[in-house]
Amino acid sequence: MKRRGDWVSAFIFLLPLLFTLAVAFIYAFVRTVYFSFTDYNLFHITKFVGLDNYTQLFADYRFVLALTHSLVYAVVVTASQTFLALLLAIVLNQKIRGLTFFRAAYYVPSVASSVAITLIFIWLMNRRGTVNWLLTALGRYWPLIVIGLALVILVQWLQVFSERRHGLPARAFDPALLGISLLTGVVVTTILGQLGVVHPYPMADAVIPWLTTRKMFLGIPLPLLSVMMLNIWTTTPTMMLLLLAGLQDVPQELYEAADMDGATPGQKLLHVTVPAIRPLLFMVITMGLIGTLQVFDQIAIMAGVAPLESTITLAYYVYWNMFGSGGLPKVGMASAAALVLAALTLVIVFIQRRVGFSEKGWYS
Amino acid sequence: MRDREMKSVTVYRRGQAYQVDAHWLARRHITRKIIVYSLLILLVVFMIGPLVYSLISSFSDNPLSWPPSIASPRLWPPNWAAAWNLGVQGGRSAWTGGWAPGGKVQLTVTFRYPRSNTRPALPRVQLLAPPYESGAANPAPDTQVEVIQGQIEPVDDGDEISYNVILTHKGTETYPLLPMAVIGPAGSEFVRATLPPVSVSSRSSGTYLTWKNVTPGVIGYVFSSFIGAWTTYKGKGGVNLFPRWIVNSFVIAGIRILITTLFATMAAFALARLRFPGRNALFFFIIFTMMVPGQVTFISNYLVVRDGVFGLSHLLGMKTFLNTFWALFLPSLVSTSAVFMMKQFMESIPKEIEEAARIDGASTFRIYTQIILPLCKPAIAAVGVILTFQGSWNEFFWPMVVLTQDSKFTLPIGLNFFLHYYNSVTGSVWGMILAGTVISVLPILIIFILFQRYFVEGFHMSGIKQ
Repeated sequence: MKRRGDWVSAFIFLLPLLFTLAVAFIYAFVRTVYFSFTDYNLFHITKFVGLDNYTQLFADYRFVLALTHSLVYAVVVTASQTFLALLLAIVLNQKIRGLTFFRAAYYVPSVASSVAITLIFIWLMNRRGTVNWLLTALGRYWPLIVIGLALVILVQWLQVFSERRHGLPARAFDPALLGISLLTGVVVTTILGQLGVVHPYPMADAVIPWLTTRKMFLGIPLPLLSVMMLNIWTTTPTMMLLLLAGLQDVPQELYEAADMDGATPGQKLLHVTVPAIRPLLFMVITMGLIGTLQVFDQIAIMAGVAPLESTITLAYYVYWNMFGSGGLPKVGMASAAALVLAALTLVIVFIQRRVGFSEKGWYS
Repeated sequence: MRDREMKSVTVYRRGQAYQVDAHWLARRHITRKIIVYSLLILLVVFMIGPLVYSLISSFSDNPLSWPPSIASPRLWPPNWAAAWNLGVQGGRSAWTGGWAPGGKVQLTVTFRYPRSNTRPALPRVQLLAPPYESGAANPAPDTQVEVIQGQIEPVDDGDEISYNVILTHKGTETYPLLPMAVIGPAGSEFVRATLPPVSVSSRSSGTYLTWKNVTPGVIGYVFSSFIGAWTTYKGKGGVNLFPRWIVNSFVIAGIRILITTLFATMAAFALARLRFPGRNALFFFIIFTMMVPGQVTFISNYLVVRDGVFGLSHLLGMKTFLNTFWALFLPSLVSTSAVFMMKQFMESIPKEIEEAARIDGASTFRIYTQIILPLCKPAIAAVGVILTFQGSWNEFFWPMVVLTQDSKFTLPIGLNFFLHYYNSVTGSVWGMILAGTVISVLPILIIFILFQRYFVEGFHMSGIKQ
């Protein structure tokens, strides 16, 4: 049925949306492009400066820092959260009762505001905070932990060895045997510790200044590393739930067939699991990259505690040029940096499109 | 066939067939279950633990104590009884306490001394000034102090001596707080007190015990960090700003819900149900806008809002929309992600219902109001109300740009401001920051627990926005 009046009424219904898109998006985008070629500072008369802002941008050590931080942040966080989420999903891949409860628990940090979560993290990562205290405990008890782990491996190996000799198909991580190994390891280590055979290592309190420092670890400033851990902690379980849903749709027959064909667990992962959830995995990765490239909230909140050079990312650099530096807003610089950020995001979106994702697969 | 035998099962591993005992296999299934559920529970602790821990610590006197402790005297019921009694004695209010005229408080403090023949000196009592930021008056001039020695109890390596500290209100004014320190002579050791002190420190000059408030009442005692968060930061005219921020957040979220429900359903209706040129292009454009970072458009949007949206603000008698709630709504009048999700939902409504109405001569507007909207109630509840509330309640970047006046802050901006304001890492302040954080998380957590399903759907649908 063809309806001629439709486009008129459609226009009326779309009016608020079109207004928003036109003013808050298209006009805004065009203006940002325009500003990036000027020396506008919100007050003085604007002068056209050509590509000066862009050349200045790459001469500004803060921008270079922000760009590297953003890229490193995006790659490290996305890689870690995807890897951890996949690992967890594979381990947990079976029928789970009470999944609603677990799911609710895992979503809580994503539901709470970034400010609340970041404040809690800043508190935990204080010099005298709980994280350092846990690290101290870990540092003191490492002899026990190492011995415990060695025991677990030894007992597990002995059991697997004896089962295989009896012609039973025991796997290296056979759950029933692993349960016994873990139990033996924990009990024996506790007894050894109680008897004083193994001593905790007398380490001084670990007082790592996670936030108020310019120190680096593997080339990443400690405060930025803290934000990374915060982000990985928040998003890994939600990603895991997405992947778990995907894994549970993989037909069990595929694994059985692989078993019959003599596939190792590693081969099953690479040739059955990963291909089956490839679209989902791809979505999780691109989504993660887009989200992490734009990280702002956590960085802005940390800015009250950590040195600027140790946390600044592209999104925060844009804001900082406008309102954070204390001087006149450098609108031109901010705009140019914002466009770099947009370009980076669009590159990922473009790749996502090219690899051929229908819009349905994206949001499944 | 061996399969026929009751207890034997064939298992394939790496291309080899094995005959195994059914029990052998069942044992593996059960232990695997145990391992999986242990891991699930461990993850729950890992994800919720920090939140629960900060909730408990917001009741602690010093959330940065080393080693960290979750034992908080304020959560210990016998202390509630003590706080109740002291509140009644001092301020005639068991709940909120205070230091009122005619009040007379008796606090028993016990010290342990090494055994000796000389009688130890009486502990000194010092009335302290209330913390500067509380703005409370100093009750010291109106308060009389008396210390009486109570009973002596010998213990294995010394004597435990109790002292009754009696405070009497001699003036005519009522004070909200009565802070005090009791200093035991050098060498003494603190044993117990009617109400536990917030800090105990041994110095060469003596053992210092301090109370932030000797007459707290139950609420004043248990929720002291929360009261601190609520009342410490004051704006013009001494108004508490923290409750103002909560109200602001609720008002803004409420208006957002109305706007989104109306405008997003309108746009989604047109996209899902009406035919017009460029429909698909518009839809793709919407998805595109969802991925562009807010930092790209905020510069121009800030200017638009500053200039009152092309002078529209002059109609309302304002020069600019900065520091008004208008600024929050204008750039995001229609949330594109809400449009996206609503559209997906509307497409699932069967076309026949609409076609029938059209044949009956219903106008497009009537179809929208009388057919589509009622059928969209679940989507409106999920996207329009719940997810919009969450987004608005947690929003940080844009409010931070346009709201710079402390009385206009929303809760996240206010909390962030708290951190900068106190910009210190001393323990007692963290109690207040954590209390504020807990208050801010509570509404969204309650809504999440009640409407979990909608959140999960929303997360899956708007995956791009992390």
